Amino acid sequence: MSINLNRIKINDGAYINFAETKKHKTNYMSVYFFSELTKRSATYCKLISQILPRGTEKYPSARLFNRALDACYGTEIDVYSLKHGETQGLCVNVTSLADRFAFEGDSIMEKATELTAEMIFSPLIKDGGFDEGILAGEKVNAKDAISARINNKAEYAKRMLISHMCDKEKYSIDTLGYEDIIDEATGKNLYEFYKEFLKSARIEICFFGDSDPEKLTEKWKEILSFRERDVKALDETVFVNDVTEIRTVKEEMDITQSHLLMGYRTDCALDSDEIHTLSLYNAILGGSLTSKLFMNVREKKSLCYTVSSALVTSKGLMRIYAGVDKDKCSFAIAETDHQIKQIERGNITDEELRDAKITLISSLRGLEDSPGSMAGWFLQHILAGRADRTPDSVAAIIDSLTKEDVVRISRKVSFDTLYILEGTAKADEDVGDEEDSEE
Amino acid sequence: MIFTEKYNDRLGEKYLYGVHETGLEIFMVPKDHIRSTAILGTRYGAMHRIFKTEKDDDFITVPDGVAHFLEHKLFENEDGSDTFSRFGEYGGNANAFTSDEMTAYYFTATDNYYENLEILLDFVSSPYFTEETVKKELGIIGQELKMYLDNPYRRLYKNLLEALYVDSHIKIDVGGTEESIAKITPEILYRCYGTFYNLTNMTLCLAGSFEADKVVKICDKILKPSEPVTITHSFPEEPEYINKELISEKFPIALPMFYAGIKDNMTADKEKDPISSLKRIWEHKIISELLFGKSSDFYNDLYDKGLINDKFSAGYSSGCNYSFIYFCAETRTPDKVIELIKEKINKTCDDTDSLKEDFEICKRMIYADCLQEWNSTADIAELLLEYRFMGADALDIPDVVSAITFEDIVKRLKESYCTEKMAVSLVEPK
Repeated sequence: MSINLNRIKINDGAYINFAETKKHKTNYMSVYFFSELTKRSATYCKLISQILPRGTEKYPSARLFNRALDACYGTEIDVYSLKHGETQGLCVNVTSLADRFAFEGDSIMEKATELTAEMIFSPLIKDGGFDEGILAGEKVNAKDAISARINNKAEYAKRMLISHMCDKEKYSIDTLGYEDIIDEATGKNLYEFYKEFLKSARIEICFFGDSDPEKLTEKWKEILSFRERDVKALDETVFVNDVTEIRTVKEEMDITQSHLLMGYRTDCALDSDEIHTLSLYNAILGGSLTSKLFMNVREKKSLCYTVSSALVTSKGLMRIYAGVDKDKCSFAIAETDHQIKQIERGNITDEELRDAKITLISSLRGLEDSPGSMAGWFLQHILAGRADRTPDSVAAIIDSLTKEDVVRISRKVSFDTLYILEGTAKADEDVGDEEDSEE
Repeated sequence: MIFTEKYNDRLGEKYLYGVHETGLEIFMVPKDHIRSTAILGTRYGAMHRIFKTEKDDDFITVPDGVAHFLEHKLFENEDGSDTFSRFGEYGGNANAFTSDEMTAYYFTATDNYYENLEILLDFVSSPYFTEETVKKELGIIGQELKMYLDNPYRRLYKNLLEALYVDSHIKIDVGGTEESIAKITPEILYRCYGTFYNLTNMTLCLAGSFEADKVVKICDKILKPSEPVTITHSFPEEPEYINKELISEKFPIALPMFYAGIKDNMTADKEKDPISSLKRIWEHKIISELLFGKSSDFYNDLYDKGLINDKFSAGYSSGCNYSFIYFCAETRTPDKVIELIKEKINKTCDDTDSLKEDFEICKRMIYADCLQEWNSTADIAELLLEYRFMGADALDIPDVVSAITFEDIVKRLKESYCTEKMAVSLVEPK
């Protein structure tokens, strides 16, 4: 079954992409903005993602805005900042109940769209800027989020790999922002940034659900028709492919389990059809429960509970992760390296190739059951200039690939950086120090 | 095999229900989705440490972590083949989980549904445990347990249970400990398997595109009849009062976090009425949203003062044998926030009319939430299974929610929100 995505230009540098489906009880809409990535944009977009839900012109407090969402059958609006390759992004995700479940013929989607537009284009402004009181509170939250990176050790380790591996590249810019830039932000300069951001950002709206797409398109055209637009072209992400020296970085933390990250350069851009071969390679290596890493590092050698590989296709990277005992790190690295070399030598069984293909094709076919996954999938290809791709067309390419294709692509993958977050606590000593209090 | 059909107008959903001749009960939800799901569950979880059947003279006690260990071991086959590989051939994405009260094995697939279903039923029906395979698994589960030791949220939860409950088996860690799992033998695994993986103790839920008679044919082929069994659990008598007011730990995290709970003494096992259980659970969801949700005065006042951030949440957790109201926050001032929670509860209990204005909107929100649980086949199948194991029917939820009145909420609030039964688990930066 093919998903037919309709793509319509609604303004200068602004598009709506939609597919109708009655499968779900909810409608799903994402509004993405893309612009230049800098430390300042990362920090400011993070702050803005926190401030926007705090009130609008019509609903001048978080409580009032949330009440309006509640009254719209509990519509949820999530705002977050992101990066795509070396591009700054801001996303507004809207999930609302499908109109057919409303009482008394209410139009939930229409109201949800109005609330979304209200939040994005009519934020709460005081004296020509964002409210300084609200900003002060969100600055604390933003700094706390930076400190809280260490709470999830695996995610922290993944961030640290990127910050070391790409330290001279824009990609190392952290989407959580920077404390010194947080400090210098004022309601006025943040608002000036936001106005310029809305004016110059590329806009991609994705909609999947049971709502009249023509009405929705006209609604967004109308919303944007009042906005001044001067869209700037996005910078290309730089792909670094020459690895002259493998870097090793070790950090210690008072935790029980160590975290091993191995970063690779893949020399493969998202707009090239080679990306599908790379996906297949990744699935064979560590991207599924029948992959070489899972079967060998975990199942056969019992070295870890979690081991996997993942691609960062927007930046030409691959990352292998394993949670292991400190004294097993070197074994896990050796076994991982061995499995990578197995692929380079062409030692891929028919079953491994078959299972990896099935995993990827199945995942592509299943996309239309998940609106959020569909939005993400289509968006990455649209941004790469490949709006022509569909899950069916990609599945057909993957199905046609051979072992030789996989071997060929494997030789383009180069090891760049090893990062180890080493746990220094012993399990029997316990990471936590307990104090009880009795009644 | 005879199926009965049940339909819910509000949802626009139905299921077929029947009991296979081997004793396994089956729910089927037809959905026009690409990805179809099957989940096979047993009423066996971490809490079930002491048990007997009608054939046993006395209760037996097994080491903590057996249910979870069994879950891992069932994926290994006697012929050495790997179960994930078997699913891989047919594109089935398989996994499993163990909780306090159940273990479940499931797959989702876009094609070859019947082949995947056959594998699911086969591997769960084919236990194979040896000294060697048990020893091998200790390494993997050992790593899993270490991963959890470093997880502050997991510790918060574990300590909350320790604080709330005096003797209840809800306190047993699902994975056990490295010490307890080292005591697991093939004999223990076979004993537990033989008791709990009796088909009359299990349920199969399917959601997606398939034909009922083909599903039945696969069950006919793979499943072996189980004699009805009566399993009796020995649970300690849990008092109404809490164990400790506060358990505090230091951890390598950025800001203090707490997980507070109010012990609720009503459980599904005590109620023995499925509609009452659903009503209780969903009334609590409405109350949590009314008092502590994102549009509540409480949330917004504390957020504006910088006392909480967007990680604050409140809700209700419930199973067959346990239930509690919970509050979770990351905050520099845990004592202050907890005091304010208590104050909010006490004030509201004295002035329930203050909730009237927002009640209908909140109820509408929660109603929308309950419909949205039927979005994916994986969610539907798991939802049906979990409520079934509590003795309830997930298909009844929209009707139950829409019938909830303001008076119901007031009654529930006054009965359950008792601040004397609040316990706190706190984790602070090291």
